[in-house]
Amino acid sequence: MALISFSQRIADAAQTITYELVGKDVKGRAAYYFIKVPTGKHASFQQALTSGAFDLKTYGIVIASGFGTAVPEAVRMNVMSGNLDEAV
Amino acid sequence: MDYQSILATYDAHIAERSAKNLPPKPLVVEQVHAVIAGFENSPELAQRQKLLSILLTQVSPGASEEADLKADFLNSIATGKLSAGELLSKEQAVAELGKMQCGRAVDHLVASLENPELAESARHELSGMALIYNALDRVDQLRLNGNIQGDQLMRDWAKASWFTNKPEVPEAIRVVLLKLDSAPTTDGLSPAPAAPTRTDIPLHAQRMLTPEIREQITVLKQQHPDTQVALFADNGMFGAGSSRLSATNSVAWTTGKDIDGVPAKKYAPIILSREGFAPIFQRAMRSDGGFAITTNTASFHTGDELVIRPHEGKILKDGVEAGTFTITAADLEKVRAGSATFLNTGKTLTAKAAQKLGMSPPDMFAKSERSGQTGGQTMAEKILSRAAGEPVYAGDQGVVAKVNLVGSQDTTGGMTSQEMKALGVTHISGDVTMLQSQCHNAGLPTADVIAANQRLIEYMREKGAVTLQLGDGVIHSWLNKMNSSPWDVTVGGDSHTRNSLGIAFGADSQTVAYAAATGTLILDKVPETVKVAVEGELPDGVTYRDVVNAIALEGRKQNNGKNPYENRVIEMHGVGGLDPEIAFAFSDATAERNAIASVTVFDKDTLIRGVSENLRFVKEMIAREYDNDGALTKLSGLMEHFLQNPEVPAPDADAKYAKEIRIDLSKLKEPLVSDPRKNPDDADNVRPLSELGAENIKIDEVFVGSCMTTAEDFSLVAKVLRNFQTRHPGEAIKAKLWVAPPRPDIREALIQTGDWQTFKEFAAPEGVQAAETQTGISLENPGCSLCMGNQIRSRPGANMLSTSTRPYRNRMGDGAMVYLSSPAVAAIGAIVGHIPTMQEYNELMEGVEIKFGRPNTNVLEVSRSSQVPITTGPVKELQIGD
Repeated sequence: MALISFSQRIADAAQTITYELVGKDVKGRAAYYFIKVPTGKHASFQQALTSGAFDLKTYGIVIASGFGTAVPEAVRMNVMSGNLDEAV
Repeated sequence: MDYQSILATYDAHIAERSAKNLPPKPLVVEQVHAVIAGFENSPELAQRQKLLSILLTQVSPGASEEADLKADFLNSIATGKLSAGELLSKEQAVAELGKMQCGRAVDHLVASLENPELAESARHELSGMALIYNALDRVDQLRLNGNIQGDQLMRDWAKASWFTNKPEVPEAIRVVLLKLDSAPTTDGLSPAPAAPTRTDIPLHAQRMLTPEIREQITVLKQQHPDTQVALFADNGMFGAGSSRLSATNSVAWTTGKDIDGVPAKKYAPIILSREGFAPIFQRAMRSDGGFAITTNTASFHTGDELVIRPHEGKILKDGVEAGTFTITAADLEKVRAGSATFLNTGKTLTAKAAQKLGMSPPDMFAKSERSGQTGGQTMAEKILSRAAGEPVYAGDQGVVAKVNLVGSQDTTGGMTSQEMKALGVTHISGDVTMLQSQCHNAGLPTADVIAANQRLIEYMREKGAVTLQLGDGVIHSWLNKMNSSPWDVTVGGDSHTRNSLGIAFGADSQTVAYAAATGTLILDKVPETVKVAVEGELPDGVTYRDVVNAIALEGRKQNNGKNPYENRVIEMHGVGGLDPEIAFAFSDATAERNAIASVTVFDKDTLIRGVSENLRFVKEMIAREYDNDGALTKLSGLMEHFLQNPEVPAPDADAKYAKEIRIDLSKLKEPLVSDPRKNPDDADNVRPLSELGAENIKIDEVFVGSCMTTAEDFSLVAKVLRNFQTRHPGEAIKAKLWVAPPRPDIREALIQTGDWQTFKEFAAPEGVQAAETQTGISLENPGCSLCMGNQIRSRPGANMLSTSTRPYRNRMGDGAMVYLSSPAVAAIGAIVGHIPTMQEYNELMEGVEIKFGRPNTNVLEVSRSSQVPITTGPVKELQIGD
């Protein structure tokens, strides 16, 4: 796995916003997601969050996800520290 | 009890065993005390002679209280503190110490190097021994202090005297053949119901195969007294199934050779097979100094006398070449050394001695050949490269990999402890965490089994292992929660040692003991890898367990009907988001595919989640006082280290695979079930539920349990049962349903969710013995239960649905036919009393939620969202030049 450099990460962080979501997937299963949304899609993504069903992939890259509503703290910490930033 | 009474009881034991055509069991410590006391106090020469003979021949060598006592006794004679008169001279006592191989005997012999009267004979004995370990440092100190024999001994060892003193493998070995109808599994060679007798090798061997075959062996031995009997099979893979060394021990006892100074054990059996050997069994045969020969046996018959020429790889019949086979120089060295353990430990001894003397080790052993591959690596090659400290590829031989987790269960643990004693292990390696369970005997433990398990637990705990109690559940399920990172190398004394994270190898007890003692595993050859790529989305109603069956089905379909996984590593792709606990089912079932091991390519977030959960689990173990010698504390530290900066192994894009199997999940339209009727010893005859459901196959009993199951599986079964209650209120289920969670914490979770209560609502009435009930749910203690089949068993001839691992004949019950399925199919089969039709299945699965891998990225609704502040990442990921 390629390492992402410090400067790349700074640049990347400036251009994307990472969200933590909890909800239900299309099959009604409780789920959590971390998604990196480019700033250009931020507004439409915000709108989608309140508009019902939508596909996360339309708005960005899912970098972590799982079933349930309890988001694992170790996953959140690694997202926050930039350790998790590739699509899953 | 006084020594005379103990000796009288021992005489009765000899008579009793003799009547059963068995040698006496090796002496236990009280008996050794009594024999020595009897020898010292008896005025009669004949009695003293008899007792001395018992002491010299009936104590297992190694690091044990029994061997220590014997060594002390012999040393007393050697040093003149005790006289045996003409029965045993000082020199003979030294020679007997030399037969004891390791432990206290080595200490006494090293001390004798300073005794002018004994030094030369002590040096002679020590030069032929391999299990010297740290005593080498003491000998080297003697050398540095000017001790002449110590100096010579170091030079002997540096020239591999422990090997060269042994006779070479003969140019020709005569055998007489006995044909088996088909290649037996290890269950056939060492039946699970006889598991409690495994440490009593001669007794256990009386359960090998059938009475008729054992009788044939006896007759052949009588007819050909100077010729070794060799079993052979014309069809099927020899030794598939469990890892048990007892299978090899039984073959060795029945057809192998005596070992000087070792009671109730033989070695070096010879087996021939046209379709080869299961990897763990073959390794055990080689470890035991035996020959497992793959050759064309089509022209062979029972009673044929053959000459095997091992150095040439040829088989002669009536002087004419009748077959060929491949055997490596390294394998021949194991035969000459007596076992893989002696060879490997001896080589270490030689290397250390040479280093101390500033010499080069002798260039006499087979080179660890390398395949010459370079470039991209598979995941297994990546993990093993790190463990070996050098790049390794498939085909590389003699690779020494560091091991960090070792597992031992209770029906092979006795043999592992025997091997640890024989190896002279005083404490397990500080580099490994070892777990000893009591799961395979947890069904209906008798007083004898409880006592034997207690002795095992006490021994393993004293050696530094973490130990589990009866009722704590299945070792594989625990070990899978104890991986500290995806780089782990695990070794365990059971074929289902197949953890989700890292790579795990099920192995024979000798290999397990070696891994525990040294923290290393020596791979004869790094295996090739088969890539299994799972793609697409799982259709409704199909579960991950059906995907497990699909791997068997598609493997054969995409490989011209042959098993592509045999003797290879399976590398799973496409399940990277699946919790490691659930993904364990994929790795676990690779045992039934006859794969050597498996690896799973997980995504980074899954690994973080998985190791975090393992850390929580291990901390809970520590809180519940499972830790021993700080082994779990050390393990939790390794987990924390991984989580600080998770490094994820992944195969290279240009890695070379022996085969690629693709499975499109969207094409799995229905559940898949393994049908045992074609061959109960093979789990690969997989068929769609719609076909089997249409045959109206009656089901008598259902087993939901084994290491293959998780809390989610039991929860799913409970949901199906509640569906049934809702649709058919007041109705009973039609078959008997055994429910056996693999760990107590899973049962606790089910109690909290109310699922356990659902099971209770279908339970047989109070007071009815579980074994006697014909229908209803029987709630079992956590453990292997029916999957092991050595205690709780099905009714004879029962038709069964089971979530367990293997359908082998007579394993779950005499004549039982076991259809392997998902928990969902099993539960519905129990309800309707037959293999369900698709209509029955769909009706009772309605509304049952199935989770597989990751949630769909199509979201129905978002209940909570927040922006995540991202820091700039750990400094250690900075790259120079950015």
